[in-house]
Amino acid sequence: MILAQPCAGQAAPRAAGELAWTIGYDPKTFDPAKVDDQESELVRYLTAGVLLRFNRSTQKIEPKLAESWNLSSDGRTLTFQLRSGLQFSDGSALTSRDAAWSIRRVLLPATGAPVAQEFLSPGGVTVETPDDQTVVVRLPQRVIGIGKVFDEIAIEPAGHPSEGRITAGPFVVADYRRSQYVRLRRNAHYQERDAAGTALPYAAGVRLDILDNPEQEARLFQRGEYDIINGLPPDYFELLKRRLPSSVRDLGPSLNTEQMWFNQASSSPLPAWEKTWFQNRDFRVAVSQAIHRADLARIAYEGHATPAYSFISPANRAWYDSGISAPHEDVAAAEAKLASVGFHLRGSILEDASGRAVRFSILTNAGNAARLKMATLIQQDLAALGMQVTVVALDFPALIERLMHTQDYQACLLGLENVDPDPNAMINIWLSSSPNHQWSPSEKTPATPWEAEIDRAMNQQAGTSNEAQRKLAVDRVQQIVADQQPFIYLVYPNALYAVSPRLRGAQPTVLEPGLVWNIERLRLQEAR
Amino acid sequence: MKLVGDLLKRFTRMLAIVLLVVIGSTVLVRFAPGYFSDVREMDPRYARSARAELSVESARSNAIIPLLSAEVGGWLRGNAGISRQYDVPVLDLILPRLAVTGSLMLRSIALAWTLALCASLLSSAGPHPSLLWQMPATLLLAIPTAAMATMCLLAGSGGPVLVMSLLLAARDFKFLDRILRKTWLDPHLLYARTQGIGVTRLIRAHILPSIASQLSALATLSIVTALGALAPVEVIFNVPGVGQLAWSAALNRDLPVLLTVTMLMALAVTFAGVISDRPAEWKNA
Repeated sequence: MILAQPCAGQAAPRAAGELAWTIGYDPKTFDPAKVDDQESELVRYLTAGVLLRFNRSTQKIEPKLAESWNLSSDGRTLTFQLRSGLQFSDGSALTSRDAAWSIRRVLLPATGAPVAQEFLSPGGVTVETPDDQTVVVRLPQRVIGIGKVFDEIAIEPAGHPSEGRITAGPFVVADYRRSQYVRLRRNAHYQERDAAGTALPYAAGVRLDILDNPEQEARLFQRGEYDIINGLPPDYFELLKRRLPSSVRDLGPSLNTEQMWFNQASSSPLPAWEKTWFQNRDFRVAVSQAIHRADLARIAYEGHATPAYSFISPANRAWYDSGISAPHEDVAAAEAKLASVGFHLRGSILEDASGRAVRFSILTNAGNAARLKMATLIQQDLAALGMQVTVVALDFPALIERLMHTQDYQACLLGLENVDPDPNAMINIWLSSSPNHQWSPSEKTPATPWEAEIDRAMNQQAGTSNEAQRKLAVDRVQQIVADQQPFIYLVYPNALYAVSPRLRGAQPTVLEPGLVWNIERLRLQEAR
Repeated sequence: MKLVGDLLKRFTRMLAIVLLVVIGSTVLVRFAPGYFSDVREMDPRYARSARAELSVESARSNAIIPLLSAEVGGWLRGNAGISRQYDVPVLDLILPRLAVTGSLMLRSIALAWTLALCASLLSSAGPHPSLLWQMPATLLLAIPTAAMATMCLLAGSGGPVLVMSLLLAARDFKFLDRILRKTWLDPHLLYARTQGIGVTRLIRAHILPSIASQLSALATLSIVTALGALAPVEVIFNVPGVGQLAWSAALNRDLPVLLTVTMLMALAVTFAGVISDRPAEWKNA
């Protein structure tokens, strides 16, 4: 009996009509106002009743608990008209008082809600309730994409925050076993119905197993214990494709990017000559030209990635600029560019004008097979220019300490997950004063004219609601980044999913939460 | 009296070891690269709250003595401190996992000993060490635990108990085979065999009592080996035990959790050592 014991770690048996998939780690909180990590955000998405929902498929804002909403012409007053007869999962009535209380709670500094920052000046926001069905939110200043902010504010019973146990969303938190699973139960009082008048959601519940082991996940998916794999690694995609060809989906490029960058921070402990190399635009462009991105996509991602030249993916149709001119693969041009700024070959070793061999290391995180393969391929590509590159894989805490605190690194290869197609969501990466301005964090004043130009363009797009002007500003940033190569974009990994053949209603999108964005309409075949 | 004094001495030694483990673990984790970092710092959406939490941790852990006293204070308050990763009392995290890990270890050790004893009794009965027994044991010892667990996982058969048992059985077999082979050649056993006493009676009445102290030492070794294999096995098979928690705590630089787990392991090992030493001395006494 002991010998026959199956691989352990399974959660409780699946209830009838329950959907199951995995999350990588325990949600840090179930309080929807305090969400500050990805898994908590997923639980909030599945449980929270919100006034507005950003439809991940159409990429448009849709009213949810609100029947209608209106933004004043100066962009500073939002008026929400609630649906009538709304109820929380415990059967109590949901009125404008609950909505106002939930919004005010998010804005309070004591709550520490990360979403409050999206109001820019949360302290100046006022919320009024002229009647039981109307909520009026007044902002001290215009906020770009304010509709989407309300996608992140869960409406809870006034005065009774329940950590997801009483919600107005499709599910409620029913059970949580740390490091094992989170179990959600269907909200019988959810207000939405399908075209035939059937109450949503279809599924009786959701079980989120906490499992950070893609092998185990793929195996259990094949056994039918999971219905979905979100963000499938490319090697497991191929494995499942061989065994269950109809279950895998490749949606093409995602919004995410994989990029490499050099440490250009003046305050870094690197020797002066290395800073000179990395701050030299021609050096960075030459490196970019030497990298064979198609090979990275083909080998590291088994063909499930697309070569990247900009921070905006072609999947982001509204903001991608197909007309940008970026340095493409051209080793001869790279050599010429390096020669023009004093680099020369001594034997097979590249040296700078003062005879120092060009040697540096690329940091990346351990445990990401595709990223390690890319780093190795880049090492080979740069060897063709005479650069001696070492690949160093560190665990995340050690890597982040080097990047964010000591700045003791030469180059880094990492990815960026973009959950919002609006480039304004990335403003903290592009503003030179931001700690997340990776190649040179927290600059007191822009270190270069082109960084100052990026600051101007990003602030300009953040300060206007004129979409054409915003697009022009963002296009300008894309072109500057392509010219200067502060980030050398490598690939856009494809959005890869696995869907159980028993699951109905799946319409995968490249936006988070991927396969489950329409959770209300997902159901298992037997459940009907 | 001598026995009580000796026990007291051993207990003091055990406490000293645990204290050293506490100090050593605190210093190692506190100065590990990445102690003051958080993966969410890289994500513009969550960077602000990550930095706020880090500044609190930085104020708390700036100097090693206050940090140590804070951790010991957690133990005195009875909750073993607050986990940095989960923000809940460490004991709330560990207690439910102790049962899972304890059960895994007990079943693995029991199965391993059964396998090792049977194999070594059969093997030692022959005149020379047989490749039939030695080869598989050597092979099993050569395969890293994590690799064996991954193979089981990919093959879709076997589980954590099997992997731990095979690892322990291979190690135990090597020792047991040697001990038994030597014991079979003891003059009194040779004489008893010539007198026609049955093998079962020989094993029960002569062999097992004469190797009891060695078996007890081997039991300690089994516990230590099992503790070492816990983390990879629990992580790979996703067993919600103490090993999995320790792994996650190490990746997240969760000092209060790591400290408690290390302390528990040190206690288990030193206590097993004390117990295993006793039979020989009682016998001598």
